[in-house]
Amino acid sequence: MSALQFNTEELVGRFEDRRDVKNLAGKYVMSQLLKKEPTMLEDLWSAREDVSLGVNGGYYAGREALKAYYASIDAATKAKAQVVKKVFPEDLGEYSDEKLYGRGPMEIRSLDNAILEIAADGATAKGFFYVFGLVTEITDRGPISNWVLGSCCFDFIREADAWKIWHVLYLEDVDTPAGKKWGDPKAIEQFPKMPEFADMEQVKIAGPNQEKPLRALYTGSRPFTRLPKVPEPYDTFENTFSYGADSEEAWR
Amino acid sequence: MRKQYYSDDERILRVWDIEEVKDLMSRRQVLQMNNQRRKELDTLWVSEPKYKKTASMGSNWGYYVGMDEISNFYVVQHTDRQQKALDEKCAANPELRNIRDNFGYGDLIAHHISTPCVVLAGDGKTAKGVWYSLGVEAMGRPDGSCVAKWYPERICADFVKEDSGEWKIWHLLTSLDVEYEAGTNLGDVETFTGLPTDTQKRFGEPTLPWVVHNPDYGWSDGYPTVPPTEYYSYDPAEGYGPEGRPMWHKGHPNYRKENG
Repeated sequence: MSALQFNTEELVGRFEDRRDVKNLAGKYVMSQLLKKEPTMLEDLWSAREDVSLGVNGGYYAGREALKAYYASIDAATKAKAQVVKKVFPEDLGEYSDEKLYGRGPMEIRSLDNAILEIAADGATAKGFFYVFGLVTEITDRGPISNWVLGSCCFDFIREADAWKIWHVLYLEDVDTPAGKKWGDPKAIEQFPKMPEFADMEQVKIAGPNQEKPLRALYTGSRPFTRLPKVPEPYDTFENTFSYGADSEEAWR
Repeated sequence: MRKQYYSDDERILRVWDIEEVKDLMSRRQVLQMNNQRRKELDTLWVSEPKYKKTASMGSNWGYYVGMDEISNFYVVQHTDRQQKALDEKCAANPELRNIRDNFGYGDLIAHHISTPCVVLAGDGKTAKGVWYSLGVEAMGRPDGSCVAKWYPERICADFVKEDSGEWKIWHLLTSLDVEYEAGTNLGDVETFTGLPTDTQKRFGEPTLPWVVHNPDYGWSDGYPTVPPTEYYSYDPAEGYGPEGRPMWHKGHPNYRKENG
């Protein structure tokens, strides 16, 4: 979108929009790190019903699906903390459940390679980021740290003069334990199961309500797979593609 | 160096120019990661003859100069390598079709950029930027396994606003700091093997085969203006093209006579 089609005041506003949506994307991944899943839907997402989160295995489509997804992460976070407390009673034995919350996992996802577009009408915006992450999870094999590579794409929508997340498409290429060979889907099996972490076998995150293979993880025999479509200048949302569950254009 | 005074109109356009340059560089990285190299050169690099002639793509071992040379190295030779790799994979896997759509089968390319530092010339006609990329590439082998490597590298670029008003890439310099296999301890990687790395071999025979970046001893050079400092108008001697290199070369503490 050429800057020349906007006047000075509009350009200042559009620069603020770029800054705001970039910050919102940062808050999204930072909230995962700080285990704020119980409040993410209210704090960061649009109030619309057609919100969606796409992951490799499909879409969490609709507000209820996202609510169930975040509730299952909340339950898992509580369970992980209890396991960690049991393994480290001298350090954590005295902690209340509230103080213990979030102990164990550490989900670092940095957002690199930003490409942002604000619609000419200023009502929506789109963002593409490359994700470079180190995600540590508490599993039945103990704490496992994985290198994570992928992309995180957003549709943003302006609501009551604030930017909110409308759709997220988060697709991973690599999710492999640090220090192990990438492209080996069985690398995790090199870590033996640990009896003191056995409770983690029961902990599951809710799966997508629209199961659909959006992307396979990388292996040495995966066909070459391009990144999701990146935002292009657009005037209004109807005239561009969507990162939402309603469209396959972004990842096909 | 900037003008003493910019009007509000000028100031916001300067702000916007820097945003456009950052987006341009991110788009370049995406096209590289997608193996869409021809599209990258056709849409994101300089297109006006006065700039095409002096465009450059550099790395540790020299520069390709001029869009024809860049295209031959970056697209034609790369395509030949992809065809050869696919021939080998098809020979090992009869179910794999030897068609262009299968180029890069089993490969993963990730040269995403972070840490942008972009400076716009005082006259607004050019810009300079530096980024860091914790790059990763995994190459599929004919047997279906892969070799995954880290490619931490600094990427510097000069940009020019062409007559169309669009920002384009003019000079690009990728300074690879180290290349090593994922899952290995960097401290165990042998530095002085006397043998070219895979990346060096792939860089082929540049127009100007100069030592541009020498990361021996784990030391990162101070190529002319990294990070870029304020400037009023473009000076090739301070740019990221080959004309900027002698300035680095002469006073460089890692300079070795055998590198010429």
